[in-house]
Amino acid sequence: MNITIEGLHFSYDGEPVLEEIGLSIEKGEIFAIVGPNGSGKTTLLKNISGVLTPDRGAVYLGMKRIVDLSTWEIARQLAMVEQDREVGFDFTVREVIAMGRIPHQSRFARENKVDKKRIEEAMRVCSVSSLANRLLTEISGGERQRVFLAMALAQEPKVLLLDEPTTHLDINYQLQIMEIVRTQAIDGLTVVMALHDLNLAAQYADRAAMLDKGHLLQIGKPDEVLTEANIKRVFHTDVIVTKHPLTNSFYVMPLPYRFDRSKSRSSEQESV
Amino acid sequence: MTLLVVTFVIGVIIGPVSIPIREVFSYLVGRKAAIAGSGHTQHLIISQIRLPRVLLGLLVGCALAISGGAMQGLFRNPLASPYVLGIASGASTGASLVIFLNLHGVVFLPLGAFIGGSLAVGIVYQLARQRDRKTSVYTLILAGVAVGALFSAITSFLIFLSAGTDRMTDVIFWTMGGLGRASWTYLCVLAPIVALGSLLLIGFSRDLNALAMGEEGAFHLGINPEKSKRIMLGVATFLTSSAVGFAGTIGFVGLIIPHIMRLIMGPDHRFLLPATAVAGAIFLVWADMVARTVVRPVELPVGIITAFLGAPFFLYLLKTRKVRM
Repeated sequence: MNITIEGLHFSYDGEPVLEEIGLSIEKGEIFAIVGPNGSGKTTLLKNISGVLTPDRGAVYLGMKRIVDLSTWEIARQLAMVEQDREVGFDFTVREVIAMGRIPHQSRFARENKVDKKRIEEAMRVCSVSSLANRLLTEISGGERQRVFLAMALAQEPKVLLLDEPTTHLDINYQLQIMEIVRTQAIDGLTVVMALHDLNLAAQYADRAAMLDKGHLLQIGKPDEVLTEANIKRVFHTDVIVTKHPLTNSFYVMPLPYRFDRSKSRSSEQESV
Repeated sequence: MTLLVVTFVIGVIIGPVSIPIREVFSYLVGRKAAIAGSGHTQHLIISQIRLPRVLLGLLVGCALAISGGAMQGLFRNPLASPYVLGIASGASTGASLVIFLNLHGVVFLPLGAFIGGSLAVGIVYQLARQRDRKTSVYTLILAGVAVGALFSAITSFLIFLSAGTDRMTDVIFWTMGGLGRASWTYLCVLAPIVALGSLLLIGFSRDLNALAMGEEGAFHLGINPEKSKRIMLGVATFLTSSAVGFAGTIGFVGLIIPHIMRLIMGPDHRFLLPATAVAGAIFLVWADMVARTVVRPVELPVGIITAFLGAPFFLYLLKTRKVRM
């Protein structure tokens, strides 16, 4: 399912957070929203998910405006993994993942065969089957995040939104999450994620949008968006963007504040 | 379920006047024996005192426990209970005011309690909403404690005003809580309320599960969190107020029974809420049995017993079980 955003404006208490956002995301695409803290990444995701309603402009899910859909209709097409989700009460891993089936069940329905199959499938894909009966509070952060991803996948969404899915995770877990997402996208899932890790965006996103204080600075392929100039402008940080010797994708390496680029060639001789 | 039936029978048997088990069964099974004269007084005690009292205990226990369970789920907070949110205090003030104004009767008491309870929870809810736009749990509970204290003060003031009159004992009775005023008319009003309210809350148990994921989490599962919360809060308020209207403020049932059941059954509200309803009913009848027999012929306020029985058991569970909050 594709997503279209047209002339979107959003403000919190009269304070504009997003201005004149317009973009479209294709089915099966992995789309990364990058930008510094406070640039509006999460707010944009929440506008796409229907949690927030834009002041002006509209978000379309397929052909329909999201504001015209009921909470129920949205949940049957769109799933979201929020940042730092806190779960009340001690549910087991399986109980949490099974909640992903709620949009597909009627109020009093018990778990049927389809539900069971989807839950088990999601657990397998996210490698959490062995944790099924553990409490959510007993497992590690990386495992938790995979459980939430499994819950979102059990929802059988056409669109998956991820808000900083790799924050607080060790590097192996970051890659696990990204690989799962990539596999799902190949199967046709549209993925939109807010990422602060520019390298993950470079490695995994098909396209990226860079936000600067609520404005869309640039949209395009990661190597078009994540340029040294753009990063300098938005993050006020000097970086080197180079090709990775093995994967041939590029990567972003920050330079320390005291580093003076103009002298970089001769710095070794001049150093004290 | 078996426990429920056993509790029911034992509740009818035990009391200040001992009644042979055979008589109780003969009464419960069929009324034929009742005409046979010999056990007339006993049958009268059963039909007019014991039976209504046990039934009222079941209904009130069920109402308080399931409301407590729903509210804990609603606010994702194990501290939430009809008391913490000020509902019980408001309801008790409403009931006290009705008594103070000498407006007796089956209609006025629960009505007064409901108005009082709704007023309390309305103030709390509006306050929490205005402060944070979306209702925040912490503001809600803080406001609930404050509003509860205010209403308790009003009730105390009413007690003070009616000092020395019959009405004072009436009002005090309401603030302590008890099942001593059970009658068939009470039951006829309360039974449908409790049945309907409990079923409604159980029907919303899926929403409660989703709300455990947070409000946005629930939204993404297709639940409208504000709407669900408002409906459930309304139903729980109505249940609690009705229970308070007929039996006064009986503490601890709404807080501790859902906790205990969650420790035993796990947090899935689809199983937790029905279990809580049954357990609350059983618990209150047992507590009442203890209350009316332990220092015969004086009757203790049942709230003392609920706390005495409930709190240590809860502490024991907390200590020994792997806690599933």
